[in-house]
This record gives sequence, structure tokens and C-alpha cells, in this order.
Amino acid sequence: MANDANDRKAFLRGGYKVFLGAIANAAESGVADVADREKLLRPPGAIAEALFLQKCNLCGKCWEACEYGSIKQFSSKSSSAGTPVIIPEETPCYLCDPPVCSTVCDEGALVPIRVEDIKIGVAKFKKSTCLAAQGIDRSCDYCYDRCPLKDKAITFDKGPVVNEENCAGCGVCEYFCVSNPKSIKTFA
Amino acid sequence: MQFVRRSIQALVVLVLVAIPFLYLYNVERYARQNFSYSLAGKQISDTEWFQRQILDYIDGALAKTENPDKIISAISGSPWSINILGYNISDPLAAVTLTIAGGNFYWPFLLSILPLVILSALLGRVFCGWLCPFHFLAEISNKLRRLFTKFGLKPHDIHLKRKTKFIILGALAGFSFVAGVSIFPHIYPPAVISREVFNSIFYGTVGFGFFFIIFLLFTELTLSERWWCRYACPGGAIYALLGSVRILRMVRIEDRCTLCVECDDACPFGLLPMSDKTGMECDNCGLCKKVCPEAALEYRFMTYRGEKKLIAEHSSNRKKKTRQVRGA
Repeated sequence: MANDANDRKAFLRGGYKVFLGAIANAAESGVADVADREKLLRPPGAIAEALFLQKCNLCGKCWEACEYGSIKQFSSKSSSAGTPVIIPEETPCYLCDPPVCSTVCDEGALVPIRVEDIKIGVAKFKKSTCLAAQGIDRSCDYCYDRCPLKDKAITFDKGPVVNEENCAGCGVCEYFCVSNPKSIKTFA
Repeated sequence: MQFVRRSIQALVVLVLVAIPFLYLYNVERYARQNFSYSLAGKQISDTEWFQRQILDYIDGALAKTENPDKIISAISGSPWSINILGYNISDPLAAVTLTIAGGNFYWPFLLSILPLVILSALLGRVFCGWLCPFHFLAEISNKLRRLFTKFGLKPHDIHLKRKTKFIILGALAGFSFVAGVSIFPHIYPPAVISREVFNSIFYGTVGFGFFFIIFLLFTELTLSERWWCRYACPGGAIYALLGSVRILRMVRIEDRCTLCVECDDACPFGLLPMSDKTGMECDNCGLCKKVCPEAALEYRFMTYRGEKKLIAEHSSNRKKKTRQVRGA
């Protein structure tokens, strides 16, 4: 009998742990959810993030339409897994005209948009690792040179200066930045 | 009939495989035209040998045509929500889940489910038997299973209630409504398969969905024959509901039937055509018609009521016959 009781106790204790584990797991994925919702760069024409997750059904038309292969499927534990994102470090958005991805979406998660109105995110500059700003290589101006909105979104004065109003957040500057870690990064 | 069905299934699988290759080709071509160096990075420089062969083949085939852009963009998406020549066709489940998760009606997308809804209302669960890529794989697993039994192995055969799939549909729809995120694209096989095919061809990786499909096929092989399609598939539940009003029905002609049970054994959905128990699940695949030695099964245009009447007639005839045999 005593043995039985011990067994049950042990089982209950174990079950308790499993139960806690499940809650912790759910909480973790919930936290990942919230974190993801803030940081993801959605393709041009994406509606607000919460609505985007409701509308997108992962059909794949946008990432099939992109001629640069810029749109990736987000891999994560959270509920945004498999949704289309742009990861500038791998392939940035090149702001094609008209933006093909926004025109092919039939679900209404991406709405047709003009190139001038694209606002994926904003580039942020970090001085401490920049080759030009630190005087290691004064001639390095890749971020400025390759920007599709040169002189409007970015100007150059001993290092890039981002004009946040005009920046489309395409991430070309981040892609071409030679420093490691990147000194210019795109945030949603 | 079976030949037509098989060729349509093969065509669907071919399209599924062709889409990522066309996409890969499109990305590469664009990089070649517009940049002196490869911009799209990893994917292009890392093409495998077989990818190279197929890409070269596409290149050769499209070089002869005048407007390659048009051909490449002719077809995109997945069986779950496909765009053919600019016309969008979606699974009813996609519209249901979008509407439930979003809590609002998006008419352009809701209209796109009409072709499949009308088709199912006329012909039954035809999407399952004729278009679904998972059904195609499951049929292969089915064949293997029957081969096993022939060689003396006996796989388990667990049966559940057919209602289960409606419960699953309702539960998952409720979850989607509460969470505000549609759960179906992660578990509905046609959507999962196309995404995994795309991933494996384009990125050379597979995700959770791949293992999910393998798990389904393995359990269908060893535990329960076609359990997903019969008892669990939420999309199948919607098609079954629509199929209950179908017009084209498989009807048994009582005079010719010798009650040999061949058709009941052949049905992939586990329906019983010999006892007139096809109900709303029949997808008009025609397998029972094919195996019937007496040609006692035929396609007829008939409403739900018409079939009910016929079944009642059959059962009363059977009773009469029994009475005669007993000599009462």
C-alpha cells in the first residue's frame, strides 16, 4: 500500500512538473510572439501586424512573386511561424516598381502600394563599429552608395546620416555594410 | 475514368514541383539581367546539380517563347490558395479560417472560394479524390498497406467516429477565433505539402510540416487506414458538408448486385456502397464502379431526396425477399 501511495505521489509530482513545463512553454512562445510582432520586417504594403497575422494564410504567392528572392518564411516557435518576412542581412528589398508582392496577395494581408509610399521599417546607425566614422577606412560609403533613395533617405558626412522620415526600411544599406557586426541595421 | 483521375493528380503534383523551380529560375534570371554579380546571394551560387539541370532546361524552353514573364507568373500559390492566370481559387477552409480569425468579411477573397464550393455542391468531395496532393500520397501508402496484407503482415486497423472531423474543425476554428491567428495552414496537408515542397527545392531545408506529413503517412500505413481523410481532416469536413447536397451520385442497381462486398473493400473512404451507405462523404472517385464484377454501380444524377427514396425502396425490397425465402 505504502509503495502505491509513493508511486502516486511521485506521479503527481511528475505530472505537476509536466503541467508547469507546459505553462512555461506556452508562456515562452507567448513572449516570443510579442517579441516577434515588434521586430519583423513585413513585405511592402503589409497591413498592421495583428491584422496581418489574421489575414495571412501562408499561401506563398508573395515569396513566389519576388524577383530578388527577398521574401523569406519566418522560422520560429511563435504563431508568426511561416509568415513572409524580409531579412535584410540575407537579401534586402530592392523596391521594384510596382512592388510585385503587394499586388499578388489575394487575402488582403498585403495591399497594393506605390513605391514612394513603401515603409517597411527604419534604418538605424551605430557609430561604434562603422569603418568610416571610426576613421579606419574613410573611403567606405557602401551604405550611402547603394541606397535606392540616395540623398533623400541617407546623406554622408564622415559616416551615414539616416533621414528617418524618408527611409523606406528596405535594408539595402544593411546588406552592403562590410563591418561585422553591421553598423547600420533595419528595424520595423 | 481512373486514368483521368490519376493524370489530374499527377498534374497537380507536377505543378507543385514546377512552381518552386520556376521561381528559382525567375530569381536567377533577374539577377543575371540586372546585375553584374549575383545579388540574391546564397540560393543562386549554391544550386545543386539536379537544380542546375532543370534550370537549364527551363531556360532552353523559355528562350523560344516571346513573353517568358507571362508564363512564369501564370501560376502561383498552393492548392490551398492558388492563382491561375490572375484568377484566384481558394479552399473553402481558407476563407472560413480567415473570416473567423479576422472577425470580418473580406469579399474579394470570399468570392474566390466559389469555384470549389460549386464543384463540391455538384459532385461531392471531388477536391479530396481528384486534386488533394495528400490524397495522392495516402493512396500510395494504401497500396503498400494492401501489399503488406498480401504478404501476411497484418497492420492495425483502428476505427473512429466520422463525426470526429467536425469536432476537430469546430475546436480548431474556436482556437483560431480566440488566438486571432489561423491554425489551419499549419496542419492542413495540401497547404503543408506545397510549402514543404517549396522549401525543400528552394532552400534545401524542411520544416516541422515535413515530419508531420511523414507521421501521418506512417500512421496511415501501420495503425489505421486513411484515418486522416476519414476522421480528422477539417477541410474534408467542409467538403463533406457541401457534398451532402451533391447531384452526381454513385447508385447501386439492385437487380444486378450479387452482394459480393468487392466495392465495400475497395472504397478508400471506408464507405459501404453495397449497403447503400455512401452518405455525404463520397468523392465520386469511381473505384467501386471499377471493381464491381457485375457492373451494378453507376453514376446517376440524383438529389439527396431521390437517393433516400431509392434506398428506402431497396430496403423494402430486401425485406420482401427475406420474407419470401423464409416462406412466411
